[in-house]
Amino acid sequence: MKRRQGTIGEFEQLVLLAILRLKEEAYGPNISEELERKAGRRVSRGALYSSLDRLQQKGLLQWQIEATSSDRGGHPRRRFEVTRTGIAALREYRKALTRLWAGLEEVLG
Amino acid sequence: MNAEERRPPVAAEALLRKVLPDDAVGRSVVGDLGEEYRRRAQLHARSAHRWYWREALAIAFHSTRDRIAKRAASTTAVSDPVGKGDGMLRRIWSDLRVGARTLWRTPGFTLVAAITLALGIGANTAIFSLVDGILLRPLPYDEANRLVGVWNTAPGVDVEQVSQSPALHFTYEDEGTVFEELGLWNRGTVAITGLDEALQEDAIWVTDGTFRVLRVQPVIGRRFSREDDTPDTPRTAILSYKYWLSRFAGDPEVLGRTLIADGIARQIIGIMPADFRLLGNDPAIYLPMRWDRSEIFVGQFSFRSLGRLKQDVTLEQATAEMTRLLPIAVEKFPGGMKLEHVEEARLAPLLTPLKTDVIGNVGDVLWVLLGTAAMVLLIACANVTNLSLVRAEGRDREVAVRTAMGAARTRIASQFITETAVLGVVGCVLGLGLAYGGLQVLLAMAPTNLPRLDEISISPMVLLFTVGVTVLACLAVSLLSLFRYGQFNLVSALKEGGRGASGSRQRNRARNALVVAQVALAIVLLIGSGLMVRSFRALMAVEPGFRDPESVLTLRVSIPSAEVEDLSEMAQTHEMIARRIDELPGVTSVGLSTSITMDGAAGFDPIFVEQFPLSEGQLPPVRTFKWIGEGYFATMGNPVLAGRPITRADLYERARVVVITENLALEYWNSPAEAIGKRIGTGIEEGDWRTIVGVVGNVRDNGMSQDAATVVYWPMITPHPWQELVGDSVFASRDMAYAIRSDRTGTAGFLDEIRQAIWSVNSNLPLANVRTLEDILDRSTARTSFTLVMLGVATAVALLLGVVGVYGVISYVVTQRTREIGVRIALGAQTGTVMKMVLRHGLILAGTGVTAGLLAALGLTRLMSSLLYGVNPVDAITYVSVAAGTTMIVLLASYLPARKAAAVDPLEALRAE
Repeated sequence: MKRRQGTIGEFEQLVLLAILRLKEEAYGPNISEELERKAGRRVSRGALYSSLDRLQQKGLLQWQIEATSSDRGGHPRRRFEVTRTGIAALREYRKALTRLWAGLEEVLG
Repeated sequence: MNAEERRPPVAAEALLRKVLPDDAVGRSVVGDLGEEYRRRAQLHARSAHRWYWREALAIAFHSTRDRIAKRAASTTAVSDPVGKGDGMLRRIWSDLRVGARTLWRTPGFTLVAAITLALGIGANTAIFSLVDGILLRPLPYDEANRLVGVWNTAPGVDVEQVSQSPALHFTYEDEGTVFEELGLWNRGTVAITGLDEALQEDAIWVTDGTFRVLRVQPVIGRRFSREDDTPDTPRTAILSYKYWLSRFAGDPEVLGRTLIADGIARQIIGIMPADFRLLGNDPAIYLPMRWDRSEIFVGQFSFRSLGRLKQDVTLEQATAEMTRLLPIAVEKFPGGMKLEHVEEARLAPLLTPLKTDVIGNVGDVLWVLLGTAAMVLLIACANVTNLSLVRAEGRDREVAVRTAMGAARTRIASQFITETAVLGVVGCVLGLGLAYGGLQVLLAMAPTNLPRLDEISISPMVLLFTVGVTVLACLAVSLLSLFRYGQFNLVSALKEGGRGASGSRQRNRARNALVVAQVALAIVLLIGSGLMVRSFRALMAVEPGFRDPESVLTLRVSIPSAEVEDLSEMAQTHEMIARRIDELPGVTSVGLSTSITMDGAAGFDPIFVEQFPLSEGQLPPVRTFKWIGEGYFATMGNPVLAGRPITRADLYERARVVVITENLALEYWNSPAEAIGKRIGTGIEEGDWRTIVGVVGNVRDNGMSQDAATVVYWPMITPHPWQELVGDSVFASRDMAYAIRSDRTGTAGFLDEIRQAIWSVNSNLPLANVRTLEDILDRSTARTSFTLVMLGVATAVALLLGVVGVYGVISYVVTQRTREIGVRIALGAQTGTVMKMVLRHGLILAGTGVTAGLLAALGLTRLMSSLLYGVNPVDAITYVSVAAGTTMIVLLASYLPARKAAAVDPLEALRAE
């Protein structure tokens, strides 16, 4: 089963949203913390980094490598940004959701 | 613990680094995880640890999966545009899955077969990595195939191979045209003083060409130049990497500093690379030889030499040219051998590939061991084949049904091959694990004089070999299955159904043949081991010329002229040290000698015997020389057979006396007693006579497996026999070995007390080569005991597999014939008759296997004759006992199924149908 190019899964959506919320602070550990805090779910780092790579391949996000001081043992840091395509995809998703939500307020409350 | 210091689990981090790409992205993930780890560790260290492991494993899983998916996507897209190969691939994949599942369903069979294969493959891999590392891989020098060892041979005086003389070396270097470079070297020790503690260190003296021959450059600094190697120039030294690290902490500033070696200051000019070995030697320090050419003569055949042949020069061409140069050497460097001596001795150059010099005769052992491993693999294959034959029998119906439903014969065959391949892969992986573990054990117990040990590893070559061996083993195993299903008879299989009729004679024959082969191979290995056991016992029974080696401690002390200049005083210092050690509590006696038995430090010189003058032009025989002090024989435990030992009075009076060994006495006289009072001498000419005052027992100075050496013992200080040549009036060795007999040998503190005793005489004297006489003895028997253990292990495995094979086949046949046996018993057959019938089957298998094995052993054990000592390769005792023992074991293995057969209840047997 193949997904249509540009559409995103639920977890990917959450990741993109977390990055947008974190703005300039969108580093790996912060993203997982944000997801755990706001979305209330435990995030496996394996799944997280795998999704980040996939989103980058789809062109929905990009990253910058930043050198760090010695407190990370000299390991560089990756700061993530949602691309314009990414924002468009999120909008598309929200639009679809809103259309589907419309008229269901009674059932779902 | 400070939070900054917390480190994530090392292994988990290593795993991460392994699975992640080695770029900024990969490193950033490692960094992220580390950062989170530290944050968590501040709260709870143990749970942070667990957390890190869990996440690292998750990342490893995801990233590996992603990578495989990516690769699969790109290959299917590119290499298979029409999707043609898809069917083939899918079929193999489905075969693999079915194969794995079938094996999974019969875990007993799978486990036994995989372990059996793993044993065979593992043994071969382990031994082959020794063969590869030691014998096959080229020496670690540039263009090593052009390197040769330069020796001499002198068949005229029964000398096969003798070291190089400086005179010949310099002649070849000056006049020769076949060598690119030549080098001369020898080993020894020097006392290093001026650092924190005086120590005796291993040293190698080289000519300036030696490092050029090997094309090796120091890692820092420079090599010896021709000037360094010339007398009357500033003295220089090069350090080994190991020594540089241990004594100078790897300080690059050490270049230009001064080192005091044997009391002489030398400037350090270079450090050799860490992995550099001079033919396996890794001394602390290299020194230039600095020959004075005016003092050289054709003689002193005691130096090692190596050379690099020019491109396209063969050993024969080089030898021919060197032979032509021999007379020139005699002319150029007079004072030693004359031309008629050279001719009479038939002295000639002898070139050997340098690799032979390094690895020596260890090749014999390794090839025999590899052959042994191959036999274990054959036995393992036979066993696995047998197992799968038995299993295949049970699947006849399955195959028949599949054939009937239209499955192609090739498809069924390929299914069986795939199954074997899966088994092979499992066996191969397990085998590699076994080999890796086994290799560690092997390297730990291998004789220390096994060459190139540090070059042994599971290299790509070894992996290739392992894969090859696995493929061969799988082929061998599947060949029989293939053969069987190639001519599969559909109708009869369906008809026979589950009925275990005893009709499948052909199959039984195949199985019997396999068991016979197993027994035969096990016999060959058993006989090999048996011969090694006999050799080892023969070696142990040899009288080495000393007693209770475990309580004799040996060490060397060297007194440099910078410490004590005068020779008499120097000898007295040695004696004084010996007395101080003798006074220590628990010491029975102390003996001094230039060489302890089997330590390889003895000298060789010609002897003349007054009573038997040489005829014109006849060369004097060369004998082993040692210079000893009082108490040496008593300490070693070598009995004085006639006369008396050397006494302190002999030393003080510079008495012209010697003691000789029994075999030397019997060479000239009828009994040891007859030799007493006779006179012998050494030197350039006869005339300097010394009286034989004692005859002692023989000593195996060249090793336990060699003939006893003929030794002349001189007082450790004595009128100089080569006085006119050297100018000194007395001879005394500055470097003496101490033999100390005490029941405290090997106990804590004993060595410290000895060291204190030595330093109470002179605190600048280092001691070297501390070991017990037993260590020296073990070294001499190491090759035999190593081979013995290796062969023993291989044989045990072979025997076990063989017994399992015999038991398996016989009990299978019994199960198969249960109905027939039941009928026999119902018809009145006695239990004894039934048992006899089954046992007879075992006996026939054993008899055939033993006979075939004995015949094979007759041929094969000849190959190991160079490893044997004191036993004939066709040793009747070994052959008979192995044959009898194996027959007994095979009968025992058949006895259990035989009892089962006798206990068959006819009603049960028939009802089971």
